[in-house]
Amino acid sequence: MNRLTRILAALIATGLVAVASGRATYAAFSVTTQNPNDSYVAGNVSIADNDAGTLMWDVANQLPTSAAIVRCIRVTYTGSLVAGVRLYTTTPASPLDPYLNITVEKGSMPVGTVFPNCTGFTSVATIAPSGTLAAFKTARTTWASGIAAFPGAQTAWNPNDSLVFRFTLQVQNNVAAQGLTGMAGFTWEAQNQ
Amino acid sequence: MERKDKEQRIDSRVRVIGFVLGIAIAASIVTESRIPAGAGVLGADAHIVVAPSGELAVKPSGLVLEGTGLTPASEPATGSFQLMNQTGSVLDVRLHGIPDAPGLDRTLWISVTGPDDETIYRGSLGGFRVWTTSALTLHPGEWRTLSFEVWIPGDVGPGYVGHMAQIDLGFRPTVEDRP
Repeated sequence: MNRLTRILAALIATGLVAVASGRATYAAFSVTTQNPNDSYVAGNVSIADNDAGTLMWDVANQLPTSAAIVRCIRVTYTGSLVAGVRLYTTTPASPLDPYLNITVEKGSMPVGTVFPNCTGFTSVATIAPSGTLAAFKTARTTWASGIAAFPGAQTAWNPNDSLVFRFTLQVQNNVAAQGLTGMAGFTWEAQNQ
Repeated sequence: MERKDKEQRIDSRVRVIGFVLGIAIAASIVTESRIPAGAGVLGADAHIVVAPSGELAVKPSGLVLEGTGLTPASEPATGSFQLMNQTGSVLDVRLHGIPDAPGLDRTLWISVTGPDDETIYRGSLGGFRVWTTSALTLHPGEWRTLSFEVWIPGDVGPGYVGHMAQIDLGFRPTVEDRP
């Protein structure tokens, strides 16, 4: 075999190896992957309750000796961001407010208990100790002055957290309360932390 | 002299044979050790996620349907969850599903059925973005089961291949108008 033949043989052999390894590499790594539809979604805060737009209480002819009005409402945080939630009222003053005592507790309740019942409620803490509705309306009017409440021992609300608030109302044994009307609405506001 | 020429010819032939054999062995090792190309078809993935609302409790919460590798030839993926009315009113509950990507809007189909096999929705994922016209009626404290199926119909093109969607279910409860 002369020099030229050997060089040609070496070139052919190199070409064969290159083709073989190239085909093998192509076969091994021919699968593709995709990265479609990249998206960017802003977080949100959202909160809801289980009252379906109905009143928590609507009672008449209450006496100091009447049983206290006890009602529960479940508040669920449905936003995506970690948040704080505060309770306040923006309802204007009404005549009975100074003679109507209100207590607000937070706690838990079986899922099967429907609004506004409190069957199975377990109190975790009293977040508004007994005081008049007038005092509540004066002190708790905005997010800044609202009562912060968190599920259990948490310090923030996470998505899908819920908390039950129990309201207890009792008219005072005061003749001045006779025939008066009191009204109140309550707001739970969520702000991301 | 003649003997030396003969030895050189033999030596040269042996080298050529050795060289060719070496090349053949190297080529066969490379060819045999390659990873074969996959013959499977990349399908679509669809997940349905549910969360409680203010008026409604759900059980379980979170992932309720997991469909992976969906193709026109595969069986529908199924899932279900329970829904409870925790208000004091009778509610008509409508649903929708918002996918996190539009890639399967036309190619993935979904059906939602109530506890008595009544159809609440059946159609494309894109059509499920709007609230259903049919509603599930729930009395206070009542639990009812909703069942889901998702599938890729046989007549769609390859647009589903490799797409994924997480579908977040939403509820729109309205207090039932009672005469």
